[in-house]
Amino acid sequence: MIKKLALSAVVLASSLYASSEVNVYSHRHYDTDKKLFKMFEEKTGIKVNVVKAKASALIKRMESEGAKSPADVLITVDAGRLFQAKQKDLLQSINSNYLTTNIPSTYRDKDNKWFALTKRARVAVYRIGSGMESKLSTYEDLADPKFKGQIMVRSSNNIYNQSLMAAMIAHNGEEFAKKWAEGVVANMAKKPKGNDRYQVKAVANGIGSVAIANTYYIGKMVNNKDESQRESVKKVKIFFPKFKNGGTHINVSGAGVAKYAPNKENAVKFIEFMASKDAQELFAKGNYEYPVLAGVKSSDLVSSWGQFKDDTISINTLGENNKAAVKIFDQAGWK
Amino acid sequence: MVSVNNFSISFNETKILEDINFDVNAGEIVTLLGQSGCGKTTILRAIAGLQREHGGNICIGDTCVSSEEIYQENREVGYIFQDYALFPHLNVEDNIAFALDKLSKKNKEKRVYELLEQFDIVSHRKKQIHQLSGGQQQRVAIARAMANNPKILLLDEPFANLDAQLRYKTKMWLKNLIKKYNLSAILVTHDKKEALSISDKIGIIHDKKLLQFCSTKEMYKNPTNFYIANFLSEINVLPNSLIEKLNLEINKEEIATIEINKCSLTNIKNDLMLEILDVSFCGEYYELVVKLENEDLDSSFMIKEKEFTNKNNNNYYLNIPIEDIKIIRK
Amino acid sequence: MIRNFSKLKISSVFLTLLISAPAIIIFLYLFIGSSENWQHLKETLLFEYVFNSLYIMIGVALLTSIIGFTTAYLTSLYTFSASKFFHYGLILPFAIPTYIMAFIYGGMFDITGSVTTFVLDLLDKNLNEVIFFDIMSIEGAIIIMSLVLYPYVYLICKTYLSFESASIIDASKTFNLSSWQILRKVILPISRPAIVAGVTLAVMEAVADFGVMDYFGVSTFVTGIFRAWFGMGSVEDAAKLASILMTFVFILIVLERIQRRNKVYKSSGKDFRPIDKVRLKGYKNVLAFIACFLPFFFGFLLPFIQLCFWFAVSYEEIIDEDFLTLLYQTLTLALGSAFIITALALLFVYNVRINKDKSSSILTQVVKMGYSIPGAVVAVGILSFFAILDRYVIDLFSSTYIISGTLIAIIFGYCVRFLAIAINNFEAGFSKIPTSYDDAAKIFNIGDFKTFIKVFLPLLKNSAFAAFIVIFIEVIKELPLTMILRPFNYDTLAVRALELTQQAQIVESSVPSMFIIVIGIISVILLAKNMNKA
Repeated sequence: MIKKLALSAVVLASSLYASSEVNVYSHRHYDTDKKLFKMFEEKTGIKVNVVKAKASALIKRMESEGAKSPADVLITVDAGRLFQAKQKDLLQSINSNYLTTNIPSTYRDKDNKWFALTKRARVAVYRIGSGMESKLSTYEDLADPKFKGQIMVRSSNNIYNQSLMAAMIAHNGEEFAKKWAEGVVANMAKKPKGNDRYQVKAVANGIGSVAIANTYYIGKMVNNKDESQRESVKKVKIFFPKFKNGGTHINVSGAGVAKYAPNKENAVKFIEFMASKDAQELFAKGNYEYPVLAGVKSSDLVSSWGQFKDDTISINTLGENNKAAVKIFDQAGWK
Repeated sequence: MVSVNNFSISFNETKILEDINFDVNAGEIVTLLGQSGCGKTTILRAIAGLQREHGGNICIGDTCVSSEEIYQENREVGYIFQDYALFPHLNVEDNIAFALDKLSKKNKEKRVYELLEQFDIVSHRKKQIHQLSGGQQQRVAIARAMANNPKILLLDEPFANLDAQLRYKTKMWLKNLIKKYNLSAILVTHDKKEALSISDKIGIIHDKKLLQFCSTKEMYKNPTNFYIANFLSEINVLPNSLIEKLNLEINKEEIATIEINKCSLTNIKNDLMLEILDVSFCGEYYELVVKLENEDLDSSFMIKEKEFTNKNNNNYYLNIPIEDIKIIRK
Repeated sequence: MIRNFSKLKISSVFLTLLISAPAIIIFLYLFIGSSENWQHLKETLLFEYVFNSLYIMIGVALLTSIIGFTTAYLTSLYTFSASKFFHYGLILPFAIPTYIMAFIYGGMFDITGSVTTFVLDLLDKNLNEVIFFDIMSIEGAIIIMSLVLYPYVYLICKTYLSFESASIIDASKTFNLSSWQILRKVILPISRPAIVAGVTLAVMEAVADFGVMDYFGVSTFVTGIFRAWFGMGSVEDAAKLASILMTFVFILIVLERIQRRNKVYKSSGKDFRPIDKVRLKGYKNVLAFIACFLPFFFGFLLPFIQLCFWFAVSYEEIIDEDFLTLLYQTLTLALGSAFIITALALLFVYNVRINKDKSSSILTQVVKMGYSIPGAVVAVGILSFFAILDRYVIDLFSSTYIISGTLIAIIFGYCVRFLAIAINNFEAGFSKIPTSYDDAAKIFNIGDFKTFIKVFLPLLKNSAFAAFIVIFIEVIKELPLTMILRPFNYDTLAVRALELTQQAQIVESSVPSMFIIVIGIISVILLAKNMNKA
């Protein structure tokens, strides 16, 4: 009799539990995510509550909230921030067969505290007919005077640039990185302003000829409502630079389970879902990112941009060198 | 010499004043009397050239300007505003100097000192306006207005902010000033006591018109209508029953009045027995509210008596000299 | 009567402490040792922050005083073509938040923006052949902020001129001076306190701004705070920067108070007469019209038209169920906050009225300083405050959702920021109620509370309404604080507009922006009507 009661209690509890929720702190600001969350809700019945803000703000918030933090999952658009979150002891290790089997080890934390979900490359976008195609080669070379007045790149405040710099430091050391930054600043067509798409629009219309941008933005411009974006992107092409002793700079968008997550099980389910085939395909087709799941193909458009080799350094270094990167930017005068 | 001819003015389609005519000679003090808001300040402003859109014309000396003509810049007018309008960001001597813009520096200083002396404000010359008392501020305002030796002096409620002591002092030297420089002075006020005591001529403004304009004595003796009479002195309106009892002949347009001071009580029996309704002691006299016996309360009027003791058994009768009864228009 | 420990006083003291807590915490960080990062900051960036902030302060001060005073002068003293319209129309830029103005102008002057394309077509040239004014610069930021903020100066000057200057202007005329001389010698000098008061408000807003500076890439203290805190992860550095910023602002406020005290520019005020407006004709009429039309055009009409175009092409896609929820949430948050803050302000000012001692007015001054603290800084302070509260005080929060699950933190933040506005309104309202009313009530032995309800409340209707509306608009427009402190699934129109802009969907961002602006316009109209009644 007692056993029956206990059993029904458990069933009741778990059914209550099943119709519960997962609280996501996300820096991702893409509309495709909305669709993903709906898919997850339909599939599992777990409601997704989202707070969107810059990753750094989210991390600060989780720190302040401490053990009372209602966050279950932290999603960032940059590896450096994931690293930071782990450093501040805001994430916990999880045991997920699915994740450890399907996500390559280079794209997850060795302690299983975070997992990459998508990849993006930071590349050179040049105006067709500007003669840049023959000149572009490595990231280091961008500081060369032959690019004087040609480079359009966004502010150093942005995390994507900071991670690129972190990678430059990892490959060549701080001294070199500083000289490199100074060289790039000397080559800038205009003082840094606006976002990646602004840089692309600029070079498309004759201001400078090489823009530094993330790959998925190009995809978004191709199918954009705004005619000016569509027109601009037709005038440019992507070039995949490399590091002298490495590959193309890769950054990841990833997720981790919060240390004090109140809905831990749901959190794990959520991340596993984000790494599932359906979700990965949506990332690929809907947001023009490169999936991490083996066997999921990029969209045709993305594939048309060409192949590249991923850079060799560990994703962790992007976070480790972030502070130094910001310092070097300041010293080199890269606003 | 100021001459106002056929002056009228409207705001937003409504006529405020019409058919205003009067003259002010050099050395004359004229007061425009009327209730607050009747438009008397507007006439003053028009003479000063501050009110541009009006009907009729205004002549200052030999020059006449109507509002359609080009605004004449140099009216030699001194204007003293009700709130003095002294510039708060300048001290006393700078306020006065403000009027002397066209003079050279040396002449300016000389003239300013003259005025400071004349109006007894030398010791205040460096003070800020808000540090002065009301009377002192007025003197500064007058000094500033007189700085350019205007022929015409316009004053808006000059006695309004002063206590009794200051009032008579101000009256005195204002009169002296005007006579000394032979100015045409026009005052505007709703305070009849001051008007009567300082003016050569008075104009009463009521119901959009200039009801009467004449010397003070004349207006006092022969007010053209009840409003004026009531405005100037304390009068009683004789009730109909009294008129009948006295056999006075008046028509519908007229009423019979008598000054309160002319009425008195008597114990000597006559036709006019009174009922005393109320007695108040006012220091100088007793104020009694009375009515004729058998009449209603509406016909009550007032009497002043130097001495009075209310003895219930006495009957009182009205003593009213018929020759002092004035019949005037309503 | 000794009322030192009345309930009113105690609650005022308590509230003051509560409201100052975030600022105090930030200041405390100043004394917690400096990181080696601070050295780096000092060497590379501090000078730039100071220089830029000063540049912005001076630029905004100059522009807003010129635009604000000129328009106030013209509309107060003269009638000219459309002057009646400009009377109210010049306030409209208030309805547009600074960052939205920045988005719109940024979009118009973008490489492929409407203005750029228009000019290029007109001149039939290429992008490289024409030098365009780079709007996304510090100069551009100054211009945009001035266009949005000049109404502060305009309103204060206009109120002053309309109510205090009629007879002084008449007096100047009797001395046969030209209008230009009167302006230079009389009107400008007496308007100085009003101009300074308006400029102070405008400059404070400009210096605390985040949206415009961030979008245009201008480094100021506020962007530096965000960067140090979020980017470098150093709360200490961020707090130090915040303290320096607040010191600047504090000095500004003190200077303004001092210069106001030295000049007593109140006229007797007994005989209020409206100014006799002079009708302008000919070229003067045209000039006056242009002088007023330009700020109206650039500060409201042009951006609004552009917004309408963008709105027309994107509203169908953006206005979905989620958006309507968003709208509902924004409105309820703003209405609720405005109500709470108005009520609290009333309490403070009433306390000062009843307990006429100095400490009460000091409390009020302290609370008013909250206005000068940038929204982001307030948010940091509140987060830290709640964290400390939780750690050292009793375990108040049984659930984990005190910040993330409720609106308590965010409303707290609005209180800190906006109490000053409501208090100012009530101070003005109370000052019009003669103290004889209080005495009369005392004689009739009506208690404080009843006096409040029966005597003061009806007389303060206008002030309460004005305060409510202004706070309502401010909450709807507020961005940085809301971004940081909002709970789950709780977005506002402002946040959504920013999000869309960050996703480079400027055109789509016009939808939430349009709602913000329309709500702002309606509120401004209500406010103007209310001012007329007073």
